[in-house]
Amino acid sequence: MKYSTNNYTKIGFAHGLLSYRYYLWKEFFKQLGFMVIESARTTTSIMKKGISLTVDDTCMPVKAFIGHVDELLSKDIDYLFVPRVLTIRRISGYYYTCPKIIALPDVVRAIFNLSENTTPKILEMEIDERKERMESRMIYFARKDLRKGKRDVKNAISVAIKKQREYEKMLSMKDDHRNYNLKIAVVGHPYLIFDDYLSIGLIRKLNELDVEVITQFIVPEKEIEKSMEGFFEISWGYEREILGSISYFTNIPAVDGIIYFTSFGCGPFAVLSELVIREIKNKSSKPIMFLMIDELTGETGFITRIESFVDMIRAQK
Amino acid sequence: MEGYLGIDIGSVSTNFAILDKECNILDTLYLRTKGNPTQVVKKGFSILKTRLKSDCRIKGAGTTGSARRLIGKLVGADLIKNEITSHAVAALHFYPDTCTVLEIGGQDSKLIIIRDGIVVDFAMNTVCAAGTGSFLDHQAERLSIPIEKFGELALGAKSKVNIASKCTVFAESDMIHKAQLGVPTENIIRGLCEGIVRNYLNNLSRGKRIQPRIVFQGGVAYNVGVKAAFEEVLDSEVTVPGHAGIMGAIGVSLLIKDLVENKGKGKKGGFIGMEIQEMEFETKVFECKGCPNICEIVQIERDGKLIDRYGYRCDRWELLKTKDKFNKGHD
Repeated sequence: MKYSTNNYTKIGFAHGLLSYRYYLWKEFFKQLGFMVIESARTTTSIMKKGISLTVDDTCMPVKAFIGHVDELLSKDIDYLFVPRVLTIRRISGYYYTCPKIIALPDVVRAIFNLSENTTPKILEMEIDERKERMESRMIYFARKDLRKGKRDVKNAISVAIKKQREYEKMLSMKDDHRNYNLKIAVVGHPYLIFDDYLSIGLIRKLNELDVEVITQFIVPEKEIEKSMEGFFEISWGYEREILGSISYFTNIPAVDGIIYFTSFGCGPFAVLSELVIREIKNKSSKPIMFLMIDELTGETGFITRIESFVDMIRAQK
Repeated sequence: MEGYLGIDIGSVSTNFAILDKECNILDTLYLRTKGNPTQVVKKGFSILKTRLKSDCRIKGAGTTGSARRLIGKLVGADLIKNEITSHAVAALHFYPDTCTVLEIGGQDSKLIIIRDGIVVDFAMNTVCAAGTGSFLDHQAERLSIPIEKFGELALGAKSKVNIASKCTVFAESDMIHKAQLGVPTENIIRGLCEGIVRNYLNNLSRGKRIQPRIVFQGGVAYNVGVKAAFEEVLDSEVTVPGHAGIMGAIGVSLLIKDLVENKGKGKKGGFIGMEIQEMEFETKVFECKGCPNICEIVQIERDGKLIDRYGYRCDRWELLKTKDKFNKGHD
C-alpha cells in the first residue's frame, strides 16, 4: 500500500501497548520529518472512554490503548500509527506476540469505523521478524510505502536505534541511585508497569516504602534464555522474556523479592504463567508475588498487598 | 498500669484489643462497623473508657483493617499496619508453631503461609467477596436463622448436598433450588459451609502448601460448620483461637507494644487518647479538576483542622507541601 505523505503530515501515536517497548518507532517518524502527535499519559477519562468502546473481556491495556486512540482522533491527524507485530525474534528463535496485539489494527478499524476512505488512515506497518528484522522492515516501509529518500531513511533509522538503546537503559531502572534498603524486581509487560495510571503507581509506591525497583530490562537476553532451559516450550515472545527473567531473578541474591505484575484478561498469562510460576516457586524460596489488577481494582486492597509483601521480605531478612 | 490499644476496622466489624506489658489481654470489644468507621470508633472508645481501670494508661495505639489509614490518622495512631502482618503476628503469639493462617473476615479472605515463624507467602481474595462473612450473614438472614446457630446446624446435617459457590448469586439460586427440592435446611447449610471452603481454597491456595498447625481466624472462624469443613478437606486439625474474631486487633497491639518498648515512641507519635467523643471528624470528598485524571481527593478533618488527605496521583494535594493553599473553593 502507498501512503501520500509530505512533511506536514501528522501521524498520531497512541501512548499504549508496544509503544512502551519500541521507542524507535516514534523517533523514526520524527526523524523522517513527520509531525508526531502523541496522546497524553493515561488518565481516568481515557480509561473510561476505552472501557466504553471495547468489549468487556479484552484486557485492560487494550482498553487503555483504544482510549488513547479516541483522544488522538480529536486532534486532526492524517495518519494513525497502529503496527501489526506478528512475531519477534529472540536469540533462541521466533516467537508470536499476543493475539490482541496481532489483531490491533483490525480492532481499531472496527471500533472507529476507519477505512481506506476516511481520515485518519491507519498506518499499518506489519512486522514479522520471521521474514525480516524490525529495522529492515521499517526501512522498507519508509522507502516503498512512504516514498522517502534513501539517505533520509538511513539517517532516521540509525538515530532511532540509538534512542531505543537509551530508552531501554531507562526501562531497566538502573539509574536510580538513591539508597534503598530493599531491592524488588518488578516484572511484567512494560505497558502495565510503566503506565502510572494502570499500575496504580506501583513503582512509586514501592519507592515510598524504601524499596528499590528493577525490571526485567536489566537482564541480558542471553541470561533470560539460559534461565528458560528446562521449562516447557513457550511460544509467546514477551512471556518468554517475563518468565525467563523471573526465573533468572530467583538466582540473584541481591534481589530480595519479585513482583509479577499482570492484568486480568491477559490471554498468555491465563494459559501458562501460573503453571510456570508454580514450577519456579517449587525450585526457589525467593518471595514471589502475583499482582493482578483490573479496572475494578480498589487501591486499598492493592496497597495492602504491596505493604504485606514488603513487610514479609523485611521480616525474612 | 500500662495498656496498648489495637484497633481493627474492617468492612463489617470493628474490633478493639488492649494488652498490658506482659501481653495479657486486658479488654476486648467487638462492634459492628455499620458503614461508619468514625462513629463506631467513638462508640468503642466510650465503652472501653468506662470499663478500663482508672490507673490504666494507653501508651500507644495502632490500627489495621481496611479503614486503618482513616482511623489511624483520626486517633493519631503510632502505627498503621496491614492486616496480613497483624494476623500473622497474632497467630504466632498464641501458637508459635503456626504454619498456616486461614482468615475469613467480613469482606475478604486471606491465606498466610508461615515457616519457622516468618511469613513466606500469602494470598488475598481479589475484587470478588464471594464466600466471606457478609455472604453467610445474608444467607442466615434470608433463612431467618441467627448467624451464631449457623455452624451448629451444619454439623447436624445427616447427608451432603452440593452448593455451587463460585459466585454468591449462583450459590443463592442453588440454595433456593435445593430447598425447593425438599432438601432439609441443615443439609443446605452444610453444603454452603463446604462450598465456602472449596471456594476459599480454589481462590487462594493455588499450589501453596497448607501445613499444620493451621490457625483459623476472622469472624467466620466462630462458625463450627466452616471449621469442620476445613478439617475435612485439609485432612488436618484446625485451631480456632479463643479470640478468633479480634486477632487482627491483637496483632496490631502486639506490634505497637513492641514498637514502643524497643524503639521508643513510634515515629508518628501522638495517640490523642480516648476522649474523642466531643471531637468533630469530617471527611470531605471532592474531585480535583486540575487534569483529566479527575482524582477523587479524600480530606480528613479533626475539629476543622486538616489532618490527612489522600487519593491523589500527583503531588498537587500533598499535605505537607500545600497546607491549606488549595483548600478554598473546592466545594
